[in-house]
Amino acid sequence: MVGYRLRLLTGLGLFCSPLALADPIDFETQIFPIFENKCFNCHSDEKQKGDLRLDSPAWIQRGSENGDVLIPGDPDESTVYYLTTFDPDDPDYMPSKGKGLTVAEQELLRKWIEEGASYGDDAMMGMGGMMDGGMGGAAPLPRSSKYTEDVPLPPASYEVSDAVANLIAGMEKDGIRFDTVNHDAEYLEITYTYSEGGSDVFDYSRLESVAGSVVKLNFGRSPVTDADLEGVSLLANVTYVDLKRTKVTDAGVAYLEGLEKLEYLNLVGTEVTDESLEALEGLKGLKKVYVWGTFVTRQAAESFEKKVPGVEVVR
Amino acid sequence: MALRVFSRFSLRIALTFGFGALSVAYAGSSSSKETLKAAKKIDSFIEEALGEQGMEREALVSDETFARRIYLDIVGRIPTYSAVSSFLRDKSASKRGDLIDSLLDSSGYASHFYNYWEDVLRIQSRDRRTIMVSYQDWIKQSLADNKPYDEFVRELISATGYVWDEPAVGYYLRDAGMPLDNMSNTAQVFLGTRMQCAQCHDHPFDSWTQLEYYHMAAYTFGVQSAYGGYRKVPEFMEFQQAARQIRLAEIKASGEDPRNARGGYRGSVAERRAIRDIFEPLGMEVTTSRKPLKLPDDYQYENGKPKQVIGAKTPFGEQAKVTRRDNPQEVYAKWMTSPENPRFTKVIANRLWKKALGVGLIEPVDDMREDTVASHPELMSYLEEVMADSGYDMKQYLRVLFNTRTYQSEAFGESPVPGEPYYFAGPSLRRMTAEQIWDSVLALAIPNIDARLGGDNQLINLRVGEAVLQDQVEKVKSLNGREIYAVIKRVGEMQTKFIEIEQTILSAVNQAETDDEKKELRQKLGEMRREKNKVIETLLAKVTGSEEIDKQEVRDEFDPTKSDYEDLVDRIGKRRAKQMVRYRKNLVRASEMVSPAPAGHFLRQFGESDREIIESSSDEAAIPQALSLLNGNLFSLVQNGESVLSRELKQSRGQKRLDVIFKSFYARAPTEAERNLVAAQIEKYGQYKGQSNVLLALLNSQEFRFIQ
Amino acid sequence: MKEILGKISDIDRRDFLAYSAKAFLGVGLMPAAARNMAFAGDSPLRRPTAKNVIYLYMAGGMSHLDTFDLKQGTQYQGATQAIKTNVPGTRVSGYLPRLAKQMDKMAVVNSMFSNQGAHEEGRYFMHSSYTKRGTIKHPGIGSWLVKFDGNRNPNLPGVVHIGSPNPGGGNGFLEQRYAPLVIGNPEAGLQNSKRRSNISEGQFQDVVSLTNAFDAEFHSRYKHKKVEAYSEMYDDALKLMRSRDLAAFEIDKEPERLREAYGENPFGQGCLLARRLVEHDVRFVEVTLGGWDTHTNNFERVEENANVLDQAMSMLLRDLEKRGMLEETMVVLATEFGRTPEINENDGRDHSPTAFTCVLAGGGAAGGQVYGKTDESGKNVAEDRIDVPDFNATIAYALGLPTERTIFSPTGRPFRVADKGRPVLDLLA
Repeated sequence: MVGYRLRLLTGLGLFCSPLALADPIDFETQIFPIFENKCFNCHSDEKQKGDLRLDSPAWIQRGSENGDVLIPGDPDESTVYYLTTFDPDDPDYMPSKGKGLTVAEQELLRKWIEEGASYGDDAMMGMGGMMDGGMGGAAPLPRSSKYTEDVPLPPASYEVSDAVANLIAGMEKDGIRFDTVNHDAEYLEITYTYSEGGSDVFDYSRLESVAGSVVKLNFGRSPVTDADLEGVSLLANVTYVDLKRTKVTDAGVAYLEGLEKLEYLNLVGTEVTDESLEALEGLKGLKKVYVWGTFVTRQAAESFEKKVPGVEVVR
Repeated sequence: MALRVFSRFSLRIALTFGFGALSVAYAGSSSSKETLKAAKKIDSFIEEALGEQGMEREALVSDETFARRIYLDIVGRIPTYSAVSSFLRDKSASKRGDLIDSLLDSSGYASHFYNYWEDVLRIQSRDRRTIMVSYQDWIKQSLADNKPYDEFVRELISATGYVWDEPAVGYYLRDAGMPLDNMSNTAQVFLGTRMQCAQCHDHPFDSWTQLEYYHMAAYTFGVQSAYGGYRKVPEFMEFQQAARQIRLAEIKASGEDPRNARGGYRGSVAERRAIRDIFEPLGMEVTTSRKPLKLPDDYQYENGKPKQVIGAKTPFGEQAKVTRRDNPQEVYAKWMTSPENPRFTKVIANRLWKKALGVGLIEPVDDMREDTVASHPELMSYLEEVMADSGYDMKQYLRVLFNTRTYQSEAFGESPVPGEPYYFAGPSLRRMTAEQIWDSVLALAIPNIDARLGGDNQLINLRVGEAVLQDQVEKVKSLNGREIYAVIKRVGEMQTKFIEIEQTILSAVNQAETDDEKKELRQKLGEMRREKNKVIETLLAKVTGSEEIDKQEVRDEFDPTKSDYEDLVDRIGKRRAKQMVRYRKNLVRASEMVSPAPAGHFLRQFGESDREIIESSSDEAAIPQALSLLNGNLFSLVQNGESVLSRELKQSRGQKRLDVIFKSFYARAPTEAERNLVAAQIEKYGQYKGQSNVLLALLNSQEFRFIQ
Repeated sequence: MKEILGKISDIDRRDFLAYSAKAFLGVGLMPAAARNMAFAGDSPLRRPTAKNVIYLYMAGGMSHLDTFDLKQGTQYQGATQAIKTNVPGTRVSGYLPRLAKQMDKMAVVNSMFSNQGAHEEGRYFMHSSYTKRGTIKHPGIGSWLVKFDGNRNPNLPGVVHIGSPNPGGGNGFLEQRYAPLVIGNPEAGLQNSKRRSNISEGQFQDVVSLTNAFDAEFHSRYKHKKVEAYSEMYDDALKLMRSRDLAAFEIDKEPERLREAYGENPFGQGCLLARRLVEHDVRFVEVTLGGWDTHTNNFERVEENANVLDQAMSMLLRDLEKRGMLEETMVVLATEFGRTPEINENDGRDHSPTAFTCVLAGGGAAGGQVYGKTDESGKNVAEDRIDVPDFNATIAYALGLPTERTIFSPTGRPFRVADKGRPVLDLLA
């Protein structure tokens, strides 16, 4: 999907830069920082005064509740420019709070708009995603959204080799279930929910031949115990672990420390405590940790979110 | 009022005791020459087609299988032990024909075929503001009277008025507010023609154009049946005028600007509610107008323009012109039900054929296209002939079918394949419908089940509801605008008072010290609320100088459990009889129940239609069915000491008990193997428990739920 | 996908072979050695992640104009007001205040298109992607899902419908075991699932054996699909009775406050039951809310219905999120068609299939967006039209179903999960 979005915006850039001057103003390095410093307080993901966001090309294009804020080639019709040039006492002057644009900044903005307000080829990089939402009123974004005969779906595979199939068949006898993940037989999910437990159900070395392929581990509601998680780090590519409603405690969660690619962890309805979060601090790839119905405290969750940037602890 | 009660009463007598005069008028009999000749001819068509396929017809069914099948096919339930026994004992050569005749004349026929039409006509009585119990009664009565089918349809299509006066208007009330859908349904049900698609565009697979659709819809577009749309009711307009005059006079007297009196009378919130409550029932009347039908705004074809007014014109068959003096509904009804209409007769002949044999000569029965050919074209046209020649006598037509050798063959062993012709070596094996299973279980449990008419609790409540509506409409119609204005003013005042009193009592409840005090106050509150809820009823009665309607009387009139009680009291004493009556309260045949049954009800689990879509009942297996038969309450009903089966068993000893059990469930004696299986149970669990195991197993067996 | 289990029935084996050949032309299989390598590139989880679906069906035709596609300031709007959502620049109806706060989770498709303007046909098309035919019944997505991917929970049915079974949403031409289990009243749960109290387990067992013995002769006489379906169904029913997962059906196990939060009505409780069932790995749960056929009195009736929907669906989304289930559970809001911009003389709106709204949330749906546009009146799609099969293909694709693959019915006719529909990837994150 990332690649796909990018293509879309590239198209947009071309669409909007008819005047290719020798040394055009670069949106990303020259204009975006102005918006960031002077406008984002009220016009980005946090707040959207006047229903306007300026934190991505698409949002700028979309305009505000009063319609377009930017007319390429015509700065004097573009509110995003001319409101910044008003007398600071004027009720419509922008920014309405904080420091105004310097004369140099105003000029830069003016010139950029005169040149056609191009966003450049890779304007989206490092700028955070743009929401697709609410294109109402603005110029439609070019889209080719459906896969057609000409735009085929990404390649898919649903079958595994005989060797893997045999391994799986053997383990399914223990009530362990295997699934390929989302159209790609190179990736496996293993579900222990309906296994009865027992001596070698949780012996991960049995999975050695496919260890690199296992990306999701589903223990939810299974008889898994703390000890059963020992050695799970053998499955180094696992990104997803579901332990909801199991008997697992902090001692078991500690074994997950080795799963460096872990992104999703569900501990809902277990008896884990703040210690579990502490044990996971090294996993910088974590995005979501679910701890509703556990003993994890709010303070611990918040402090964890600070220590592991990008993670959200849902409780 | 008295008249209405009388008519309902007579209906009930009629349903209970069968029909004398009218049914004689159409009487055929299984031994009549016409019947036998027609049956033979049908058989020869079938035989010929079988021969061409190198197939042979299945063997003639045994008396046992026949008895069970014919009961299910005509009266919709399995025969009781005593009915089976006397049929099997009968030595006469004409006994099958005699049984067919007597079942067609029994009250079970109307009940069973009502279920069918309820599914086809999507009759809903539950959770609707437009109550239509009279419509349901009318259909049952029409079936019992053996009203000719063409007449039945004509009445449905051309009815206007209130449902209690002209019950057939239920057909339009069902689709109130969606005249175009109603017309599509009409075409599908009675002409086997799907025009739904042409509602929005030319039909993609058939030849109908959107224009043709509109032409056809124009016949009935003027039929108004919108409940809630009382603003155009004359009584309401008269009231509005009166209210304006009074208001104008008031304003003049007070010296205000008379322009304030413009517009409709609005009144206070309580008054507005009263206006709605008083006039809404008047909107239930089905009326006709000459409202023009226009093509839609986005009409896209060249044969018409958007918003063009479209006149009535038939899409096929003879033309049916509507002149200025004609009622378009009647012209339409006449065209539709004419024997010259190429589809009308075909559809009903094929429908009833399918009902008897399990598979239609044309499948599906309601989606005929230009290129549709019946699996047996000559037979199809012969059946149409039989139907038309009998004067659309449905009983006579069915009588012919049931007397064929084709019908009386053993069921065909393989599943029919959709899209492939079926050759009728025998009728197809069918699972009982939900209604047949329900009625059959009740037949094992409750004596004289076919005579328990009137309705379950919910249906009786709806009867009361309808009586109240009728009463109100009649009272409102007898008043003039100024009188109604006075009533509404008074209701408004009283509602305001009631709210005050309510608050006083409520705060008293909060301050009350003892529980007894609280209880007393709450009782008062309850009484007051009841009074508040019927303030309109009370006032209307006072103003018209008539009595309030006696709801209990309506209820008692239709209570199906009354006779039950008298019967039980003699045998088991007052206390247990009372319990038993309560226990059996809502145990009436499916046709007497609110429609559709609530989701999750036994009937729905077994596939009763939700009455949203034409013929959407299902006969598929689903887990809740097994759970219900294995673990549900219905079994206790069969096992109960007062059940039909138990009482029969009490009179029997030894091996005869087994005979009673198997004939009750399967209409046949047990085989040797079955006797041994039963013996093993009784040995292991003793007589009572062992027998109970056997009953539960039979209830869950395949032979019980399938019609061979 | 469960292909690996070789559970392909005979019907589609020939096609299966053809299909595999095609698959090998694509990514194919890596050598066993490569499999062990750590994958540095794109993680597969970038692809949609839905495992289960909760399908909220608005029977009767939900007015898009009074829910998600408002036409403020036009003659078509009537009494309905727009309100802001938690996604800047997007508005929904004032009848949906709670969902407005969950807009960031929802992909609202305002450019749905159908050519079926009657209820039965519309419901059928919406559920099966095929138009209704007299000669064949098409399966719904739930049944396709279980057909391809199997039941996750060996004890429970894979597809459950709560409220009402919908035409086109059943097993169609697929075997009976893929048919939905229908629960009428969510509060009653799965009725009669416990043995009668006066019967011991041993006795119950004997009754079951006795029934089988009584049936033996009948089975030998009739090789009938319906008869076989009943034997299979009884086996499943018995398995279910013995399963500890039966608790999934008991919503009275939920705290009273939560039950109230979903709304004290059959739809609200149905949504709660749906969540419980999905927690127990039921793959596809459909909950129906009727009453949207607002030919008369549209605005009051939409307000009433929308209130029920708003409370239940917003609570469902929050509940799923809190439990970490939203990433794998796709919540779909669907209906058979929209309603006309013109307000008729009964203050109602009539059927209008040429533009309407459906919603995806969770299960990898890209929330916070309004996709597609209608014209000024809301009668027709102006941009990014999504046909019903495309919408269904999107759901199927999110579930990992092969939308391109053909399956043959018992009569040899070729069908696909969503007919010729193509997934709309903009709707997926």
